[in-house]
Amino acid sequence: MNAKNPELMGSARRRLLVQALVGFGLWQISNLILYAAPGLAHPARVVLRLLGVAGAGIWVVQTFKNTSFLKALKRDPALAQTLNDERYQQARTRAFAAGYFALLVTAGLLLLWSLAFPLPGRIAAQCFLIVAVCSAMIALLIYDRE
Amino acid sequence: MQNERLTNTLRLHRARLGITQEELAERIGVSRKTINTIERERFVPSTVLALKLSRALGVPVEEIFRLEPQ
Repeated sequence: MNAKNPELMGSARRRLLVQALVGFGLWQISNLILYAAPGLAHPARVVLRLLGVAGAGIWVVQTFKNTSFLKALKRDPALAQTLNDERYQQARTRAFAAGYFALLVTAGLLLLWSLAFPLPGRIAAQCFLIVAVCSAMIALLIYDRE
Repeated sequence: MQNERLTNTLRLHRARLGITQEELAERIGVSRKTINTIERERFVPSTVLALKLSRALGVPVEEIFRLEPQ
């Protein structure tokens, strides 16, 4: 990683975010489907299991990469400040807000669903987790665009 | 109250000095993307950043930023 170039480091940060989104999404969504639809055919379950493992693998790899990225920033405080300038801070705040509103909408939809159909707590909790994390990450990717 | 929007002449002043977005960004400690989004009026900088831009470009802040009726 070229720790001196803010442009390259900014692109690397964006790539890490995309990897985190793909990994987390695959891992959690496949697990959610496996739990919510126990009657799925065996081949479909195997495919979902493999997707979940692949997603978890991507998540773990990006976590290691993210750690080394953060270490590189710690060694260069000026670069860290450039990458975390006020435009990026604003994008991050707006992304958190987007995640919060997505969570409120999900809560409303799940509440409506639970009035008509049974809704296990684990499914509701996993839905909240997926929506909160993924919507905030997608929003950050959008707000951080040029 | 009349609606107004913030416009800027950052690109003109930068061109006058013959510096790139990246060079200006480096002078004031922000990313090139930030300079680009200010020039395209997609991001409104804080007063502190506006003053840093003014200092880096050597012109008063009101020559770079101005309010115009929408």
